Order: sequence, then C-alpha cells, then structure tokens
Amino acid sequence: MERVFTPLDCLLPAGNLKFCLLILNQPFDRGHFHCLWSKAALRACADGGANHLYHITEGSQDSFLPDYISGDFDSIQPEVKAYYKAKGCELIETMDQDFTDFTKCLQILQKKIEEKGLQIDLIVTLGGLGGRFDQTMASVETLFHATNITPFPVIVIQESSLIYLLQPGKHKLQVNTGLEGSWCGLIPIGSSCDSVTTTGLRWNLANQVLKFGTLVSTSNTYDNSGTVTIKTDKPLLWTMAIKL
Amino acid sequence: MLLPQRRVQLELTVYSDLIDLIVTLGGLGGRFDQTMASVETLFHATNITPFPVIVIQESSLIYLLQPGKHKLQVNTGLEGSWCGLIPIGSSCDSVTTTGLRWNLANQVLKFGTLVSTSNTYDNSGTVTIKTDKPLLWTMAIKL
Repeated sequence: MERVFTPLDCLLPAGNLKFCLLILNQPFDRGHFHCLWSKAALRACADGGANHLYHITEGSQDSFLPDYISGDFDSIQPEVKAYYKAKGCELIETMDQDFTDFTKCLQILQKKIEEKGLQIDLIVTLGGLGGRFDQTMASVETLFHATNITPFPVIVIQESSLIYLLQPGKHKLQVNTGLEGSWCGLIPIGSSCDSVTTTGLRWNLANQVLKFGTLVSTSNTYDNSGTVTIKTDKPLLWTMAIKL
Repeated sequence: MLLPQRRVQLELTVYSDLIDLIVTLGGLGGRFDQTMASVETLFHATNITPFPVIVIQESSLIYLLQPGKHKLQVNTGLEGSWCGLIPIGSSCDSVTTTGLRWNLANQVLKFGTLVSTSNTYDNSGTVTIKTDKPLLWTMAIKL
C-alpha cells in the first residue's frame, strides 16, 4: 500500500487537505501563520507557543483565540496566560516530565479530534526546528512517538524547512504545489536504513543504505516530474524547502 | 631544501603540538538539511582528523562522542542551562552518565524510545558519559 501525500497542500489557500494546527514555542513566519490559522479545523498552542501567537497577532488577539493551550506552563508569560484564560480558552496543565510539551499537546489534540468526530487528513505543527538544538531533536523525537498517538501524518514547519517522518513502506509525495523550494533530503536520523529506493529526485537512491557516517541525502533536489516516491525499510525523515 | 611531502609532515607535527580541537562556527541554523549535513560531517571527521571537532551556532553547541568514556568539564561559567544526548544515526544500547540532573544508568538511547533533551547539570561541574555507540552531545552556551 502506497501512502500518497502532498506535504505543502496545507499552505495553499485553495488546498484540499483538512488539518489541525499546533503552535510550538518558537518564532514563526507570519506568512505561514495566517494561511494555516485560517484553514485549520482546530488550533492549539504548546505552552510558550501562546507567547508567539499573542505577539504575532498584536492588535487583534481576540480574532485569533486558540481552542486550547497545554503544557507545564513554565514558558508561557503570565500576562499571555491571563489574557487567553479571560477570553475563555481552555488551559490544560500537563505536568508529566517524561514527555515534551509538544508530545503532550499532540495527545490532547488526538483526543479532541476523536471527541468532536473531526474528519481531518493531517496535523500541522508550526515552530520546532529553530533555536535550541536539543529542542529541534525533541521535535523529531515527538514525530517518532506520534505514530502511537495519532493515525494522522504529522508535519513540522518552521521558516523555510519542513520535516515529515516516513514510516517503513512506500510513499508518494506530490511536490508540484508551486510552493516547493529548491532543496530536499532524506535523513536516517534514528537508525540506518538498509534499503531505500527513490524516484523523482535529482539524485535518486536504488536500494541503497542511508546511514550517518556512510550516506545521508542532503542538498538534494527534484527532477521535473512533480512527484517523489520513496520506499524505505525503516523510519526515514523527509525534509524539504518551502518557498517563503 | 625539503621535499613537499616532508615539509607538510613537519608542519602537521608542529601544528599538532599547538592545537587541541577544531571549532566550527555556524552549521546549526536555517535549512534543516544543512544542520543534518553538519552532523554527518562530524561522523566523517573521525576519518579526517584526530582532533575533536565542535560546531557552535548562537546558543547551541554539538560534539560527537565516540564509543568509550568521556569526561566533560562544564564549569567555565559559559554553560547555559540545557544540555542533551542525542542518539543520532543509531540507537545506543548502553549509556551511563554522571553530573546531569537526569542521569542514565546503562540505558538505551533511541529515537522513539528515549532521547535526552532539556537535561541540565548537577552542581559538580563535570559530566561523564560512557557510550557503546557514537552519541551526539549538545549543550547551551550563555550568550
């Protein structure tokens, strides 16, 4: 069974895919934000993500109220927390220190999707790839856990980068939205992949090993077909550029 | 009058008495694939140079620990609050640490199981790490 997916559909005003939006504690691009916010079925902030939401919507915060804010609340500014609480946003404290705010926010999101019976195609995360290196790695770790939390694909976007964890098997990515930037890559981040085969890339792989210290596909790009197929025996991180 | 090869050998000998490590500035921000390419270079670095190679950008540092025992002095006063151990590339079957707020005792580090992020220090000023596979150390730098 081949998973077909258009990673940047969510950024197209006329895109078809329905999604929920999760905002993390990192500065994010205004352009992405407005398009994603307007199309999302459900919107949530993980802890300090609420600070960024509050500041980026300055002057009209009450038109951009999240459905909930969750986390251990060690990053959210007191005035931001007070504002959203007063406006009736749900604040959900999650104290479990074994999981990150992102992971816990995702767990809550999945529950709400089920409770509300929402028909969605994916979960879009804004922020998570910039700033602290350990936090970027924590975002990747959450993508690994996401397979046990939600059946929906989870993508992470920040500025001009997107990441998406491909599960073992066959994938077809449509990369013809017009929003694709020039670079892409395949990163064997958690373990080496013994057999990866691709089409649609400038430098394709033919049943090859991807492994840190041996071969990692970075600064790759597309042929003109508009479609990339990837077959992998282990989880493999897809990353691509977004035109800003 | 020295032959070119002999001259280079001598220069390397001289420099190897003068340096302890290679510092890389930049490489951890912007394009995600480039950040990963920087990590990939650290893996190849073991075959390129005997010197440790660190990468610094803004408030983050990364350093690839080879299998074995390491002692990191973290008492310069420039250490920021967070640190982590990232099993990038392959899982580590046995990692043991001291000096961290959340230490590991002969534990598995693996994406999807356990990755050490948002860790911090105890007050000893020293971190020791024993690992069976290459393991990426990351830490905050006070700006």
